[in-house]
Amino acid sequence: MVWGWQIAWYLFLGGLGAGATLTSLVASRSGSRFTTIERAGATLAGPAVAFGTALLVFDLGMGRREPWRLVYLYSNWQSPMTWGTWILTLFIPIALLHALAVTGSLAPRWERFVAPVRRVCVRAQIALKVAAGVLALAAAIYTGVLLSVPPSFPLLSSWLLPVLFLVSALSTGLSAAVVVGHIKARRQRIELDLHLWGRIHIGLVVVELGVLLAWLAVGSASPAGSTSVQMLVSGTLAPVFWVVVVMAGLVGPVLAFVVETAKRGQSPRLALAGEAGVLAGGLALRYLVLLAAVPVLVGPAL
Amino acid sequence: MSTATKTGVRHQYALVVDTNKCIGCEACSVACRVENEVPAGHWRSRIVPPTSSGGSKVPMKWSCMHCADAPCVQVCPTKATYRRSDGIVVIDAARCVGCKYCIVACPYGARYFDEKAGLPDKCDLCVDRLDAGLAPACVQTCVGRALALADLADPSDEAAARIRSGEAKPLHPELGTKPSVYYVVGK
Ligand code: SF4
Ligand code: SF4
Ligand code: SF4
Repeated sequence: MVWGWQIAWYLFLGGLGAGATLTSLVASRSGSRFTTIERAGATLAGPAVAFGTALLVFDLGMGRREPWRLVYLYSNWQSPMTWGTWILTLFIPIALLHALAVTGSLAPRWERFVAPVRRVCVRAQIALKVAAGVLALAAAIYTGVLLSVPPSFPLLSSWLLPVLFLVSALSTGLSAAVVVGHIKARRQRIELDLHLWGRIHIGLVVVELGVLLAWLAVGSASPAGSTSVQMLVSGTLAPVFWVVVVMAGLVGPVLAFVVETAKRGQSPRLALAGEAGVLAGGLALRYLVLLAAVPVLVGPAL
Repeated sequence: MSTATKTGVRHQYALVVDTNKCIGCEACSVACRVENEVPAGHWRSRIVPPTSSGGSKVPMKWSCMHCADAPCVQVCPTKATYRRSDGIVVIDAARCVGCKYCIVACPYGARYFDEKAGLPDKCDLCVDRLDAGLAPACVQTCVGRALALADLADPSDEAAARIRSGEAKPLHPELGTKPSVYYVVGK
C-alpha cells in the first residue's frame, strides 16, 4: 500500500471533524445545558478537517510542487477522490461559518475582524446547520468509499468499510467534542453534563464493535482478505489491533461510559479516559486498515 | 487522442505473451528499463517466476494489462490517466497531481510511484515507439519471440487471430477489468 501515515491521519481527522459537527448539531437540539459541547464540536471541526486536508496535499507528488494542478482534482465524476475534493472544498468553509454562528464573541480586538461575517452567519444559522450536517455525513462516509471502490485490496473492497468509518467518525468526533468541551468548562468553572454523551457513546461503540466484526468476517471470504484478517487478529498487527483498537478504543470506553453513566456523570475522569481511548483507537484503526491491505493478486494467486 | 496514424489506419492494440516460448530471461524487462529509464527499485515489466503452489507453472511476463475497464482510469481524479481509443492506457504527466490513487486501485500491481518525478508510472506499451511505427522495446528484444504486439483492428494480424480464437487468454478475468494482455499457456 503506497499510502502511508499522512493518509491515515487524514482519514482520522476527516472523520473526526465530520463527527464533531454532527455532535454539535445533536447538542444544539438537546437544550441549552449542552451549549459547551455544541460550541466545542463546531469549533474543532473546521480546523481538524483543514489540517487533515493539508496532510493530504502534502502527500501529493507533482500537486505539491505545482499547486495550480489541484484544480484538475475536480474533474472526474467517476472518481471518489473527485467527490471528496468537492466535499472537502465545501465542508471546510461551511464548518468554519457554522462555528462562527454558534460560538460566543472572541476577545474584542479579534472579534472586530469577524463581527460582520458572524452577524450574517447567525442570521443564516438554520441553513448553515443543514449544510454542515449534510456535508459532515458525506465526508464521514466518503473516506471509507475512497478505499472501498477499487478491487485491488479485498479487505478494503467491502461496503462495510464506509459503514465502519462512519460509525468511527461519529464516535471520535463525539470524543473530541467532549474532551475540548471539558477543557473549556474547566476553564470557565462550569459543570459539564456528560451524562447524555456517555449513553449515546455506549450505543455508538457497541454498534462499531459489531460492524468491525462483520467487516472482518466478510473480509476473510477471499484468500488475500483472510491473509489481511490474520495479520490483524493473530499476526504482526495483532498487538495494536487488540490492545489499541479493541481494548482501548472499544471495550474500555464502553466499561468507562457504563460506570460513568451509573454514577450519573460523577466521574468525569473515567469518562475522559474513555474518550482518549476512543480517539487512540480511531487513529489506530485507520493505520491498520492501510497496513493490513493485502493485494488481491499475491504469491500463489499469480 | 486519435487512433489514426499518419497513414489513417485505425488500431486496437493488445499484447500476446506465449509462455511456451518464454525462457524467463528478463531480456524484455531489461530492454524496457533502458528504453523507458525506469528508476532502480521499480519496474514497468517483470517476469513473475513460476510457483508450484497452485499458481502459474510457467514464468509470466507481467506489465500493465491496458484494461478496457481500468480501475486506474475510473479513480484518477484529474483524468490524467486515460485510455486512448487505440486501447493504450496512458498517464498525462502534465495533469497528474501524484495522488497515488491509481497505484492503490490497480489490481495487477502494475504501477509504481517515481518519487523524483512526483508522478506514477507504468508500461505505456512504448506508445512513442508505436506512434513512430516501431515495436515496443520488450517485443523487439524478446529472445524466444514469446512476445507479440497484436492489432485487433487488423483482420490479417496473426497475433490478433490467437486472441480471437481464444488460444490466448487474459490473466484473472474474474477481476472484471477486461485486460488487453493475453497469455498462451500450455501447448
Ligand atoms: S493493469 Fe492496472 S494500471 Fe494497467 S490499465 Fe489495468 S488497472 Fe490500470
Ligand atoms: S497519481 Fe496522477 S494518474 Fe494517478 S490517480 Fe492521481 S492524478 Fe491520476
Ligand atoms: S511495452 Fe514498452 S513500456 Fe510496456 S513493458 Fe514493453 S518495453 Fe516496457
